[in-house]
Amino acid sequence: MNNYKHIFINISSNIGEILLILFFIILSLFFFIGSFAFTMEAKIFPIVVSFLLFILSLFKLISILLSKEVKRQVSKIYPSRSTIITILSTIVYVILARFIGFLISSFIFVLILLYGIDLKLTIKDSFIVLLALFLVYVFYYTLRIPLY
Amino acid sequence: MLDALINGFYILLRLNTLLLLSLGTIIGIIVGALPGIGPTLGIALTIPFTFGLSPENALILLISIYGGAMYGGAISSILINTPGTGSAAATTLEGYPMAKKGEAMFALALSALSSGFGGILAGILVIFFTLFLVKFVLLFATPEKFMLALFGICLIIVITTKGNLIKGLISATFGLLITAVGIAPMTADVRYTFMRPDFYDGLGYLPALIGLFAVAEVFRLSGIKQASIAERIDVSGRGRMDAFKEILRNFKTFIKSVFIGIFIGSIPGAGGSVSNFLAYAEARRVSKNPELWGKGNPEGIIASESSNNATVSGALIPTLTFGIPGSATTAALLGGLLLHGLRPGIKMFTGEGLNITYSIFLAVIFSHILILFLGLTLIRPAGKIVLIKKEHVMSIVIILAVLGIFSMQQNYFDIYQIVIFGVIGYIFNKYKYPVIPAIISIILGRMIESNLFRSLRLSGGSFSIFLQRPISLILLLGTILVLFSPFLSRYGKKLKNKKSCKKRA
Repeated sequence: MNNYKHIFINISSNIGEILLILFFIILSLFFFIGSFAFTMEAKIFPIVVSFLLFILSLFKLISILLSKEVKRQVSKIYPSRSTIITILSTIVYVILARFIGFLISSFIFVLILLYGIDLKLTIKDSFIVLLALFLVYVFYYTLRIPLY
Repeated sequence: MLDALINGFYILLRLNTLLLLSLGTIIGIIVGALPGIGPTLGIALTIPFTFGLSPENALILLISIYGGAMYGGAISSILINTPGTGSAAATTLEGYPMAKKGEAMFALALSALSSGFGGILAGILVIFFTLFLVKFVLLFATPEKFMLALFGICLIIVITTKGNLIKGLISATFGLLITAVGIAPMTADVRYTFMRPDFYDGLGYLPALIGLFAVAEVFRLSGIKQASIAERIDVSGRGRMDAFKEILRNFKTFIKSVFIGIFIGSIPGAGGSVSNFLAYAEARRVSKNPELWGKGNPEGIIASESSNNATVSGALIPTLTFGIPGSATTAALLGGLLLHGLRPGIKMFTGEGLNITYSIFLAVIFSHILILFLGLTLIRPAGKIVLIKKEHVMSIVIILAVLGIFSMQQNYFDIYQIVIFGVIGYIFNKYKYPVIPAIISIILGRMIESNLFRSLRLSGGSFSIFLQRPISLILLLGTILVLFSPFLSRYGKKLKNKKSCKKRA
């Protein structure tokens, strides 16, 4: 009973890393099973590598679950507010770029990032907005990226 | 050799090439001075811009960023006790105490001189060393190349994981697995594409490189509670001539550190971050005045800075000869090399390839001459780089990453990839899974698979080919030894502890 309790403590204190390892396990299974459809020459490499990833991930998972080391600090699974804002604004940026071009999407991105993290805009920030727009224009002029 | 060297000079001394070299060195100093940015990110972000350049100009631009960043890292190390790059970490140990004593100007001049002269000397030495490399490269056929790539990856895993080998191995196998997406290198099989044309060419190494290094670094930086990189700087104290005299006084340390830098740089997996500590430790070990160390000893800066800049030339050896990057930065450099259709190997040391190789080494020397000039004249403005607000750097890096990668193929799929790889890199960093083995595996994955396939075809499908050839066998044994080295060293330490306990008893 004590052993089970220990495993549960390990799961709750390492939940983020366990989810990452489960992702590796699922990924390796997907590549392993998917390789059956290929010819012999094409499947050797993915079979060997996915098998290795599966074994290593499983080993890591078991070593976390059975670890006797007690973590003093439980690692937070969620990132900080500013990291969430940065990641989300980047995702919005690349999605918007396809529909409204790089000029407006870059403008929106810089504003969200600067205001979202700091909750205020200064004169220095406006220089960065202008620099961002200038960069977009340089790319448009030299490498023909779509402005709108 | 002399003809190729003259041709190398001819390539380098064109006006546009010299301008690119100067631009690269300045970019390098800036990205190197910004903690968290560094040469890898700088090179990764610049690669898309090189698309329209000739291969030699592109590489000269990228290599000058590398050299510049190696020096730039010292600026923030000395002024704010935060190394701009891992390669300047040892510089903080003596540089910051010197700045606190009011000798920031002296320390910055010392780092510029050590970096500049160290890089120049290393560049000259490596140019002569290339003569012997050609014969060595010819000994490597497909089985040897396959084993060497595996050996390089394993070495990188062991060095970057710092004790947690499994995490490094998971990271590397994850990177290798990703390269299986797309059309198989030697057959017509279409693998894991979900019938979407975007996946046919595989997941690109450049989106992976920029995503895992640049975008992930921005996501990591966003979580750090710090308004700007530094609040205040103080550039004052003794001058440039004193720094020059100090180097002459410690000439032996300087020469030894340059050799350490070249040697460590040429080992796959070890880079400037290893060499600067090693050179620092060696200088400290043989010092006649151990009490001066850690309190602002100029000799420490000379050792650290001359070795990390010498690493630039050393790191080019495995990159250009075998396509095995010596560090994360040379992995990014290799990405640029491959993008321009240059294949590492014997072709880089014969005919037209040798001209390019020499122009790259000469670019290293010239960029370090420029570092001497810029480092000594622009000490005060260079110090202000560290005052840039964190959010400003973050937003510009993301915009450059997105625009840069999109402009290469005008493909939206590439910009989605950099965000996905950025998130993956962020998660890797969060749970201390090293990113470098993954990225090097992504770059080398296709080469490994095609060399494995060719080797097996040569042997009629038998894996014994890797045991029958002497170099391949040595590399295989080396790989096994490298993988077991953490356990062996742990066992050795335990044994030592037991012995010392017994002695005490």
